[in-house]
Amino acid sequence: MRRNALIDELPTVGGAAARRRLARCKSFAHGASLVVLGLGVSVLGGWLFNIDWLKRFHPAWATMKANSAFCFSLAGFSLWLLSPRRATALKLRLAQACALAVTVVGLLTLGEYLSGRDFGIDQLWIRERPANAPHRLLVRTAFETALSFVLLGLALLILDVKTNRGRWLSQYLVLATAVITLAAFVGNFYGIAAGYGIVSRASIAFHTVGALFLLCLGILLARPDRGVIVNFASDNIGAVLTRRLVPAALLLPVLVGWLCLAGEQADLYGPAASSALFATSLLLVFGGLVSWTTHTLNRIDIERRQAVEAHLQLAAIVEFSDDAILGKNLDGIITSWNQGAERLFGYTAAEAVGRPVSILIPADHVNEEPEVLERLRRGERIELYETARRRKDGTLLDVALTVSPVKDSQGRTVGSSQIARDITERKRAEEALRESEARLSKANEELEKKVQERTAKLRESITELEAFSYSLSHDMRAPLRAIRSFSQIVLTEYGEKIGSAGTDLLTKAADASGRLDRLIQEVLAFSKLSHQEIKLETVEVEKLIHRTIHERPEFQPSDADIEIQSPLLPVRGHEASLTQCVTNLLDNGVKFVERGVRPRILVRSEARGNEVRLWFEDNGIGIDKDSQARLFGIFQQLHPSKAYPGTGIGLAIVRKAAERMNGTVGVESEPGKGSHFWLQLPRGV
Amino acid sequence: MNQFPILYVEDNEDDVLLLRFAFKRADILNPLHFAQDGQEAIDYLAGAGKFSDRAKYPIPSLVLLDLKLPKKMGMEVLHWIREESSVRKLPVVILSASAQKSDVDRCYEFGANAFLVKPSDADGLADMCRALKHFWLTYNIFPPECVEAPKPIQ
Repeated sequence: MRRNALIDELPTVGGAAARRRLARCKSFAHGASLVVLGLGVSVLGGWLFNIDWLKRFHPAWATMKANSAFCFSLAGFSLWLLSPRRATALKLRLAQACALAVTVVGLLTLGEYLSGRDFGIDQLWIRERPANAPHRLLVRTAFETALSFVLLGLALLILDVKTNRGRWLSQYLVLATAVITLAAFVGNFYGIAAGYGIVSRASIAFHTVGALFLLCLGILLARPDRGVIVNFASDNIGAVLTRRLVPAALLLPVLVGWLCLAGEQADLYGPAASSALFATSLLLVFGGLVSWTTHTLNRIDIERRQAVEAHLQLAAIVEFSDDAILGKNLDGIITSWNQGAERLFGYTAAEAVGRPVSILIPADHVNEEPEVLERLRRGERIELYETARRRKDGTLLDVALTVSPVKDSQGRTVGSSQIARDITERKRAEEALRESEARLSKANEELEKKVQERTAKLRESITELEAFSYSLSHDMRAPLRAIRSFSQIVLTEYGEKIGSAGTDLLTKAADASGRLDRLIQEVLAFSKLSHQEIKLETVEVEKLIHRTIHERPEFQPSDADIEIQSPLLPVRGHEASLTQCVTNLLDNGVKFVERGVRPRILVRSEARGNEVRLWFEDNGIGIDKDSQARLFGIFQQLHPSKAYPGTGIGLAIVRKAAERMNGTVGVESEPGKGSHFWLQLPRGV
Repeated sequence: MNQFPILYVEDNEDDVLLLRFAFKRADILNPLHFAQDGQEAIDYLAGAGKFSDRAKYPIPSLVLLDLKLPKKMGMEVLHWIREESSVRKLPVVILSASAQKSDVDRCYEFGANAFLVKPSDADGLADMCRALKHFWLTYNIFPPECVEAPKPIQ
């Protein structure tokens, strides 16, 4: 960060401890004003009612003078009115009037001293007025005290006035007063003589000195956060030092000096020893104080350095982060700006800091900012908020923002940090993805439409094919039936008339039409197998074969031996198609045998992985290797139809049916040794 | 054996002729009437047009119905008999060239009484007719309303 918002905005006073200290200062000022007011009023009462102890409090002490008490009352009251930061106009006027009165009384007293005349103001509050001049002096406010009142009155008058150069004049007046008071105090304290005061011939009472000090402190501490006083109250290291050393520096020499003097006066030691004792004591006390302070200061310094180190490290993390990180205050003014932000937005830190964050916001997004600020004021966090930002060169970019409130040590939201991540590329990718998805879905739709069109066409042609088959089976077979039937009728009714040659020929015609009829039926069956919908389910093969045998006389024991090696494994297939396969295979088995040989077929099944192979093993004439290859093609007849009548479609139907049921067919055979046909289908459950 | 009239609905003249021969060979003497297409069959049964002459065209006790017919298909005729005619209980035997499964299903669904496939030779047809005679014309009991038709004039 080029500038640190946190340090810039750190209050001059510091943290919570300093804040508490400030509050204590103000309370002290308030209390001090009341004490001074009370003291003034009670001493004044002493003078008014001639109560001696109220004037002096201690028999050995000098009296506080009546005018002094009057001034203390007014000054205390004035400070009491001013100690809250914002007094009403009326209170302010009253306070200033009191302060002015204090100044005037002080000035008049000084005037008396300087002119050597008596204005009569010193006896105003006194019942028994002293007649002679020396006695009058005894009730006149001391010169230093009067000067102090002039200065303090002025200080109260201009308490909240700041000079053009930013100084608080009243504080200097108070400090001057403190010096004067200190001098008077030291004089009194050392008890050198009543009236030992530098100028005054009147004595200054202890309580007057105390009240003056209290008033000085009260005025200073009523406004503890400004000017020179702030150095006392803050957390800053100088203030720590001051708080620790100043009281010692002020009080210790006086205390030690008094002790030494007291010892000397009591004849415990001579002046030389007294000086040595004074020096040694001070040396020891201050040495200890300094070493204690040094220790504290070192500890504070180390802590501070560590904090700075940690802070710098954090700052470096932020500064060198790839993301743009910027800080702004609650008014939306940029307060910090890292390198990531420089890269992302094009502004340098010097250009960006101090300008409103709106320089980054495109025109069509400006209305978002107030809402964001409002949420931040409530202390909410805004996470990965996607919006647009404008670079210095005017180009737009998409960003994801995470905005978090930044709080001070009191927990108040003072600004926000904003992490901006460039998501232009991602947005572009998303856009591209959306487009390609749209294209894909359009292509899909087109494809789907095409498929539907094709399906409709296919369905149409299947319907046509079915209509064709239907008409074939009804209309084309009718003439054949007629030819055959009429031939037979002629043969039975008129056989004798046409002679044996005629009946022979007519019989051939009838047989031929019968063969054609069978052919048509098988072609129809084949075409139906090719296009009809097939639903696959578990088929109990053994039951199916028993039923087939039962329905066909030529498969029955009267004509053939068909043995089933029970149990046969169930398969997954289509019952009608499988029936056709079984019928055709058995048909083949019983048909292709040597003349005079009784057909014998063994049906058995074997498991092959997830499939079942059904074997049909006959004792027929067998098939040579060359013929086996074309055995399952349509219209393939291996034998002259005279010897073995057939259409050449039967095995083609078996193959087609097997294929439709996801199965295969095959044969193992040698001429003269029978054929082993097999049909392999998925296993049923 | 009864002498109830029989209606044969068939467009193919050869088949009609063959059935006549077969009836003769099976010694069936019942009067045999014909309708050449589906519409004519409906007209016949409804007594429309020339068929209003019930002396000449008596209401049959049994219908032999081909399926593939001009104008109206056999299935429609069957449906009409069962749903709209005045002879809803009339026994109907389907006589089709093929035993296509869907045809068989629908015929029975519509109320056919039997489904026969035309044999492909004369001997077979004669056999079938003998069976018809035994079942329908000898042993079968018809619903009363199907036997009250007036006797044809000899």
